Amino acid sequence: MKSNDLILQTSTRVVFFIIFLFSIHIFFAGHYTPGGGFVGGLLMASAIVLLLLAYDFKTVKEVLPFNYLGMTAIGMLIALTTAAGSLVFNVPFFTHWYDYFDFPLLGKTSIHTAMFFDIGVYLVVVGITLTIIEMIGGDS
Amino acid sequence: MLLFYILFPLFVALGITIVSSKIRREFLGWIAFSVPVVLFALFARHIPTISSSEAIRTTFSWIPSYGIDLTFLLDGLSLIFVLLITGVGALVILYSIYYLSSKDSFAHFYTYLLLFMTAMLGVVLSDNIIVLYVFWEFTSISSFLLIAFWFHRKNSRNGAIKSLLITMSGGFTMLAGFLMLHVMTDSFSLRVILAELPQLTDHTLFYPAMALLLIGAFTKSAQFPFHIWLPDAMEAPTPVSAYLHSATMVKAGIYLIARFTPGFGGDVYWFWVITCVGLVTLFWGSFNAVRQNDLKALLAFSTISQLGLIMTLLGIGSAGINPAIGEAKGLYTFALFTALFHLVNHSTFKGSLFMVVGIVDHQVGTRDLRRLGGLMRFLPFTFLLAMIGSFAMAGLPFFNGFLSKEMFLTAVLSIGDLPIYGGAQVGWLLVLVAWLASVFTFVYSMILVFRTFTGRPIVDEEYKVPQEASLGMLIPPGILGVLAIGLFFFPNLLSDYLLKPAVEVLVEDGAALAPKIYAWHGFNTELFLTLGIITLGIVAYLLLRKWRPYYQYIPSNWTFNTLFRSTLSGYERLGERVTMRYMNGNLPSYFLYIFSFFIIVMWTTWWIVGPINVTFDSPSSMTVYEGLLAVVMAAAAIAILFAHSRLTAILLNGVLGFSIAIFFVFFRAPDLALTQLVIEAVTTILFLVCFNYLPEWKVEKLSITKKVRNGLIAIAGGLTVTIVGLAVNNYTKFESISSFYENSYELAGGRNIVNAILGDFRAFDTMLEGLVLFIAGIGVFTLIRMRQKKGAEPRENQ
Amino acid sequence: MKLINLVVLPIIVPLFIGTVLLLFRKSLLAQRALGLFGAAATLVVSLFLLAKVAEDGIQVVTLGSWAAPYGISLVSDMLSILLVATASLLTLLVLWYSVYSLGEKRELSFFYPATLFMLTGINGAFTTGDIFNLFVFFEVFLMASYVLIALGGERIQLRESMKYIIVNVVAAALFVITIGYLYSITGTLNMADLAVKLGDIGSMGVISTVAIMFLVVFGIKAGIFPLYFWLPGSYYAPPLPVLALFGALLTKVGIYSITRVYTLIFTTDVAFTHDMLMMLAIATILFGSIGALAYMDVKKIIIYNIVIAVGVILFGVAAFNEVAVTGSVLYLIHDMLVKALLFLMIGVLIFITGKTNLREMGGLIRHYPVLGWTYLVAVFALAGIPPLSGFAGKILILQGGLEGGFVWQSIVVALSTMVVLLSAIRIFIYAFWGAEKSFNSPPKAKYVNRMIPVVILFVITMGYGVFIEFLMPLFQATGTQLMDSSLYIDAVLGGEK
Repeated sequence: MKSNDLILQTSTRVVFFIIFLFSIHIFFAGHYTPGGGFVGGLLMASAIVLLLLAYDFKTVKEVLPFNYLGMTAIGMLIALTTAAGSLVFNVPFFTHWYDYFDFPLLGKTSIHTAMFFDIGVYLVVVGITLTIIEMIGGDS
Repeated sequence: MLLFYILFPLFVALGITIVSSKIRREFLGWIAFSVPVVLFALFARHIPTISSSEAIRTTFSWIPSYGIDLTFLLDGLSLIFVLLITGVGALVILYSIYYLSSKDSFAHFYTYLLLFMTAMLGVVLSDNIIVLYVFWEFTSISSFLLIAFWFHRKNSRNGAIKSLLITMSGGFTMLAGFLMLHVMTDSFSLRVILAELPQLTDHTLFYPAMALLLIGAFTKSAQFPFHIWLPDAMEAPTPVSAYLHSATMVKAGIYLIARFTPGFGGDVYWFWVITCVGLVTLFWGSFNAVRQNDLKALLAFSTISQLGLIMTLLGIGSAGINPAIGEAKGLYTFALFTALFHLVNHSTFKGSLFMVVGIVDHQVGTRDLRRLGGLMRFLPFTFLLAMIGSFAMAGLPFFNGFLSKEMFLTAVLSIGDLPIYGGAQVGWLLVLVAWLASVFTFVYSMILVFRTFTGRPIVDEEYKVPQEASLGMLIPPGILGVLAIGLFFFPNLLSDYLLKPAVEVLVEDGAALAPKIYAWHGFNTELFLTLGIITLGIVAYLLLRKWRPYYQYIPSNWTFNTLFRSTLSGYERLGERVTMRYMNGNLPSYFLYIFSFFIIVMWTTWWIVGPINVTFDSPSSMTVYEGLLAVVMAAAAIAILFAHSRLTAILLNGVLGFSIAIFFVFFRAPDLALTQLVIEAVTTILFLVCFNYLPEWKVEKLSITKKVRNGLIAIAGGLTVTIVGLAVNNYTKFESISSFYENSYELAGGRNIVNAILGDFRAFDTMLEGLVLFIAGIGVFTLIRMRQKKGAEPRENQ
Repeated sequence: MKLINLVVLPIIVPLFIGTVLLLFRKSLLAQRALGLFGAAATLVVSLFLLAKVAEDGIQVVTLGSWAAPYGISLVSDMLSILLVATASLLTLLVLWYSVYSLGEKRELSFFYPATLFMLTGINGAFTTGDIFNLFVFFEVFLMASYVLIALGGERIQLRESMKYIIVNVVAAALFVITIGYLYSITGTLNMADLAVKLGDIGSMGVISTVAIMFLVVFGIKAGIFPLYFWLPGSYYAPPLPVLALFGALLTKVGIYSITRVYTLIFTTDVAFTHDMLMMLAIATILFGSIGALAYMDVKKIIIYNIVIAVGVILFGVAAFNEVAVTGSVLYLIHDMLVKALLFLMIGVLIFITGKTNLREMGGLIRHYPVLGWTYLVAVFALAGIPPLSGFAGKILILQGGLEGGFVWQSIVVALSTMVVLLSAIRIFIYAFWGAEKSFNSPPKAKYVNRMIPVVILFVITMGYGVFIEFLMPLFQATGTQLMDSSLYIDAVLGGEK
């Protein structure tokens, strides 16, 4: 994928960050309104796909220089560990725990283990999309 | 204790395998020899106990949960068999030590042989029918291994597989029969089954069980038309033929029928089937024996014939069990008694004849009658033994065969007097068949001795000048020969100690009803029949050259052998053709099958269980927008079929996906809509990214009929799924579990129900779907990384 | 302390270790060691669970503490845990074999994690008590199997994996639709709850329809007639260890699923649904028998034998009485063991000769007696010759069939054994006994390496036959649990309410 479309590239830079932030927002919003880890991750992935369309594979790799497969694995491990926390407390697997806290800046906020789980899902989705893109793109 | 007897040969066999490389080969033979000798002595010790009609029983547990125990029973009937097995076994092993050549593997030979001995002892001693079956199959397996002992010969391999196939098929049918017996009596114990069977004649499984059991027995005992495996089994080394395929294993079927006689014996079908099959086998075997040029083939057919004779006797004798027989019971008990008597006699003379043929083969290098003659001069002792064996087989006086042959004729004649089963009408025909068969028997017995040992010696450069066999090879047939003569003079010794207790097992009061054996009965029908046999036999033998050539006019491709072979190869060819036809490796055809099957099976369901209700009054009425969207989707879907480029297809696919997202919006599921939208976007783009790597889009060229056919199946499939969909909508009877999730805030501390389901209620699913994605990523990774430039090294990778 | 989560462990242990393996992508040592460790650990936890189930009865964990039927229940009954333990054992042995045989290149292409993930999916499918979750586990092991089937990227693999994927994707779509229909009728996904609700409804046309749809869905996976077309071709493609895993495990998940839904959920119209299953089982046996003798290729021969066994096992399920069902389970486990064993042996055979066509082999018995004789015994076990491993199962299946009045069908089953025997023994006769042919035999040490796991599996398989009595209480419990669905239902729904 080689592209020299300057307008696309410029706008992509902006749009990428918008989508990126939106995906973060969606991720956190998931608790009360539409959103969550899965769709958040997908959005992030679509942003990266856009990046790929505008630039080429090398640029994407430079912007996001991670071991994508490793990132996926870590995401998976986070999700799994969250779930497996219940093993330690000897309650049924995947039993979540939540409570409300007053944080200095954020005010009354709930901490829910489901969120950690969602982080894992998010990472898996993003990581896999990047892996696939890396493979397909890097092959040419 | 009995278990130990049975397992003793097996343990020695294992021992032989372990030490085989460390000791001299001959020594292995002597170790093996000691086993049957010891066992014979141990079993013989029980003769006094058993002859007073007692039985010895031992039990061990194996699968008690299902009533499968190792229960063994030594009674009169099994005693005859165990003595045969160990006695002939000892002689055969002794003989084999001198018979086997230095190239043969002694260790394998004796391992198989001892394995067989264990199996055969197990068959005749088991009280539990499942255990009996276990040992039964082991005799087949060891026979298979022994026939293929010279496995580098193609004929050996073919003979082995053929015998395995036929006897094991019989075994499996027999097993099915046994299981039916279990269903009928709720027991695996022979004793219980035999006691209950006579009361169960009205049970629906009575005749199926009987038929299956008989097939098992007939295959094992090489009865017509299953006899075809036995001649091919002659590829085995001669000691094996003498032991398994003449003296013991082929008598397992006889044992089985004898064993079940008290249970099934009173039945008319049992009587006729066994009698007729036996007679046909008797005739067919002797008729075919005459035409053989290979001495062992001749003996094989002769064995088939003699087994038929014993079978016939068992059939006739079964009439004695029927209570309706009344006064005539003694007459038919006589037949059973004769069966057992001939069983023993046959083992003596046939065993010795096999060994004689083995000597000829061993010393001369051929056993083809056309190249043999005048061996009397070189092998005088062997000649003597051959004479004893053959004359006994022909039923000449001063040999044991004479006695049992006479008694056999008496038994066949008694069918004419049968008060039940309508035996009187056809009795004469059976006598005729039996008599003719005896004439042929006489002829081939003469062929065996005189064509081999008299006449002009055929001097052939190829063969060495034959020398008399070593003493080790002469003693075993010698002992059997002595027995053949001894039994003529002292038959009642055998009768009192072995035969009578055995008959007692088969029929109530059997021992009391059993006859005393006399060589001379006065001038009765039997004697005249025998004289006729001898006269006609001598004439036929002298005129052999005149009539034997007529055998070749019997069409050779009309035999059961051909039938077996062509069935087998036909089956393979059919299999190949059918399989290649539907397994064409073509994906569209596979889908054709799958969908056709789906449609057929669904409509069959409705046809059988009745149609299902389909109504269109859905609870929420459809809006115009929804209708429009549905039309768009349908149009897009149909358009894909007519797309001419891949790009169009992908985009149309995208239309479908986005429409689904819109549906989610209509149904107020923004989460799902959002997710669906993003997924559609990402997949469509990925599709496009891959675009460059894909090969040229090829439109499939199909004939119009095929297109129509595929179209119809597609429509029918869609219709079927739709009908079920509409129908299930009708049957909503229960409150859905989803109402529970609506309380997500109280339960899971989250207001977004979708996310609460994804992240909490059913988070496990979510994690696993994440895993699916994960694996998919790995898949892409490997596929692209591992693309091979050239062929791999397949061997290393297996 | 009561370990609530023991049921989960056979699923998440391989998942966890498989994931960790991805972090050590380039280290062959780590891949091998962790891969084997993962399978071994799974085996250990499943044996613990087995002991637990044997002692205390059916084990249930409701994930996320959401009471059934709202959350997902994982249920270990006897059938489930027996299959889980067997699958874990076989995975361990096959992985061991792979260490010697697969080749570094493939080993480093995620072979070990993909296998462990497949084990996750399979164990999960055996354990879950939720029909949608079953679908998800199907996806997991199928996705892993896609990776494995294409592993190595040879031309034939790519071609066959494509077909395999497409067939399975279509089957998955049908699966979801069917679950949707069932949900529409009952409003629940929990299998125990489904059983209760369908039991309340009783016999009804639409439920029989859905039951048949499930039969089609699982039938594609199990490889019943006429849905197994994809199987021989696809299974032929991958390297032998993968084939061994597929042959031993994958179709069995389909069989398990049919067994589960036809003993737990769809039991209201037995006269129709189970008769249909019976017909298909018999047809499967017949067509499998036709196929098994049609080939001279060692892999194909054993592959078609998979199909025959599927028919035999389902025959027992269709006969639907305690004896027959117990026999089916006995036979199912036997078949998993013996198929894996045979495939590995075939693997060694191909390794020695470099050929797959029987006509090109011969005379191996002199040089490879251990392989030859163990193979022969394994063939006898395959055919159910007593007292080897196939016998006890087959005899109970037949006995149950006869008790259920399926007389001629039982005879077909008994005779199918002959085809099994003939087809498999041909390999022995040609390859080991036939006229000696010359091969560039590979080094003996490599042969010996490969034989170690093979011989271990051989010993286990034989022990399964001869010492079956020791395991019999487990199988009797299985039969009881399967035929008395209230045990399962009470375990899942009873305690919580």
